[in-house]
Amino acid sequence: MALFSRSARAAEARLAAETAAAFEELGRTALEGVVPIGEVQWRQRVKVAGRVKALRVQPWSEKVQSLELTLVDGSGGLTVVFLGRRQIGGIRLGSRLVVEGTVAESRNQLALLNPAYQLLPHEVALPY
Amino acid sequence: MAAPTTDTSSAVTGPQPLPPTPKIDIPESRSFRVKNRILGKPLHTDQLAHERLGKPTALAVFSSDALSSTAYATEEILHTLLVVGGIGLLAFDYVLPITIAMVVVLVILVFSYRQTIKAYPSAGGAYIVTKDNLGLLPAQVAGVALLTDYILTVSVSVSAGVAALYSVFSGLYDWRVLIALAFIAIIALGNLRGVKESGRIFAVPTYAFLFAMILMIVVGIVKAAFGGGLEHVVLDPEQTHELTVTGSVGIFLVLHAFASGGAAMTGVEAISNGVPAFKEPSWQNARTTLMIMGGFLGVMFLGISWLATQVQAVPVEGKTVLSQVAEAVYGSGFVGHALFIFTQAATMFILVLAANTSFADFPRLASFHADDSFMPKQLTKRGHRLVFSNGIIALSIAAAFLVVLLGADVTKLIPLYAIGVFTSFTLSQAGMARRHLRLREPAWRTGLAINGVGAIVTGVVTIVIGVTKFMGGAWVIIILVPVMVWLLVRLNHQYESEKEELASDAEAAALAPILRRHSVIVLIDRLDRTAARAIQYARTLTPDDLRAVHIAVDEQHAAELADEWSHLALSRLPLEIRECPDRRINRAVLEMVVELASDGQTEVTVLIPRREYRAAWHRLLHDRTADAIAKALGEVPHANVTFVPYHLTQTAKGQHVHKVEHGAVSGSAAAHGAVGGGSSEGH
Repeated sequence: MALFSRSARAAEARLAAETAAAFEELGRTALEGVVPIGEVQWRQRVKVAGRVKALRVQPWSEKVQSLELTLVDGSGGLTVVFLGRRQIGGIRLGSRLVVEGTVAESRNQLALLNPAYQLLPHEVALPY
Repeated sequence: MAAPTTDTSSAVTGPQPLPPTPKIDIPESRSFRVKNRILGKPLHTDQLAHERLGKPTALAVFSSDALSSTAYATEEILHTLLVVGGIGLLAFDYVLPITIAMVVVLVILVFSYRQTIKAYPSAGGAYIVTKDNLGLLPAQVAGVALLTDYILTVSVSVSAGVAALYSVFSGLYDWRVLIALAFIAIIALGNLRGVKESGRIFAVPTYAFLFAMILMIVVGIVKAAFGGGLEHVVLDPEQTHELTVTGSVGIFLVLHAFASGGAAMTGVEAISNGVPAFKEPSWQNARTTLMIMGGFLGVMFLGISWLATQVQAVPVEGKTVLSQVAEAVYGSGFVGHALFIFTQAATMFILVLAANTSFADFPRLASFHADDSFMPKQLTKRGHRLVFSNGIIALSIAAAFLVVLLGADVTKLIPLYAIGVFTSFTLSQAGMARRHLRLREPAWRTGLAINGVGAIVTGVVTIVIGVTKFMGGAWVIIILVPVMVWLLVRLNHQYESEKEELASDAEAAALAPILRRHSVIVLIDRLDRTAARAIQYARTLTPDDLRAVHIAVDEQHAAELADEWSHLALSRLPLEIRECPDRRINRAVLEMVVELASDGQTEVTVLIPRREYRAAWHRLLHDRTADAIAKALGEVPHANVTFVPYHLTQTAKGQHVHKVEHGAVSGSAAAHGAVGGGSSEGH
């Protein structure tokens, strides 16, 4: 009994270590080359990571809409626009995202239009 | 009336004349209706006419305060000598000399005020005279001192009036505080209704009191001279302990008694405050009236003190000295008793009237202060019935507080009294002396002598009162007045700096270029009629940036709203959902607005849909988030908040009728309003 429980505990610990390692790995690959949002410049190709602070549904007509997000990290925020999308699974208030694209402008603010995006689990710490 | 006009309007071409008064289909507020019921219809500003008073009426109107103080002044002198000093029967040797000294002060005061009346025929209150000659700060001291004394006049007069009442009906003694409060309430209500300084109300009690006192003194003299002297008052054995000798006569005690008698001088300044109310030539009539009043006051004070000495009246609980004197003079026969009752009734009425004069003077003086930005501006506003309602309410509350605190006991109130009025006497006489030196008008030397002596004598009396009554309670006033003056000066600095900031470069600010952008935010909780109304309004503003914003406290709800919104396809109007993890909605809105306005080029308008309720309790069903948001945004520059009202009107079918129509008076809109108006009456 004692033996079994010890091995079970060991397995548990091993699993936890593996998970942590996997998250670390994910973080390393996903967050590679990420820059603080506060340092982003217009017309630059960037990769940034942040938290969804606000969501905006912009109807252009009955059929055509776009989804706009305000993505923030500790250094600043920018707008992320997904044209033609009303909603994207997994993207909600508070979601963490890594986005990559060329910085454009929308409504007087820096914006990424249709960037490549990746959802991050909460276990992965944001770098900035 | 309006219906046929609207019907025929289609037939007639061209513009129509305006209706006599715009038809407003909104019921008056409940507080207004209650006010109308209690106070009567609001008075028109034009009705603010001052009636001019002839000398006999003016004497009644302005002298009730001064004359009525004879009802308790002698008693207070006796109280000091007997109870505080404990000098026993020796006290009766001192009452008359002290009274004579007081009358000498009175004569000096009357002659001093003759000067003031001539110099300030428009309104020569201590505040104005001091402000004019000594500056604003001394004027605040004079004003505050006088204001505290007006409060005390109400408390003392009402308490003394109640004392006159319970001296006859001894059973009422235990109810004295309640009766005093009732008197204050009645006087306050009367003044809020706008009791004019109308002569008849004042004339009867004032002249009745004058008559009663003179009659009593004459009867007393006649009895003393020809009827074998007056009998001493018979006291209960348990109350005679006040006659046991426990102390000795000293200069301090005499001065203390003198200071207690100073209460009789209050109200002498009333005539100089009200010169414009006299018939032309007003200042001459005012002077004559002042002399007559001074004469009566002196004679009555001396007479009552002399009678009190003759009958050896002793101040005891439950029976005033004046009532003891009256009883002793008139005897116990039927006529005597009737005259006694008459004397007491007249005393009570004049005391209540004396309180009433404070209700005219306090609000007016407070409004002078407020006009000079030394008191809250609310005190300058004339209310429903053209009186300074806020001042009246403030005075009643302060006086009622004192009455409750000191148990409607004149003897406890007296130590607080008179020091304020003598302070203002001193300052205004000093101001007059300064004026004579400054202007050097004809006969200025005589004037300077009179006012100089007045200032010195009243100054000495002020010090005597301050020192001798200090322990008894004058310390409260001596501390309170400087503190109040300091507060008023602080208030003044606040008002002045505000005024300065608001006035600086106002023209340049109005002509400054406007900001480049205008962002409009419509705060939305759910998609309903209030939101629809706000969106409609927002669209008329045609801003550079318009968005609806929902602060997501509940994510589920936010998601549903976003879904609804995307189906709504409101052309080009985005809905922004912002996170609010700490559930502080006003903080989240504040953050967003600061963000938008941070470029310094954007004017931000936040539209908040707000339900308007017809009944107060409906409002209690909801929190006041909208107001909290507006308050939070008040600090942000270029952030503006607009409430978009939606009037909730429940019709019989439970259908919501939107009551704000867009200006156009059409038949259907009128019918609309009628339905809504009819139903709202029922709430």
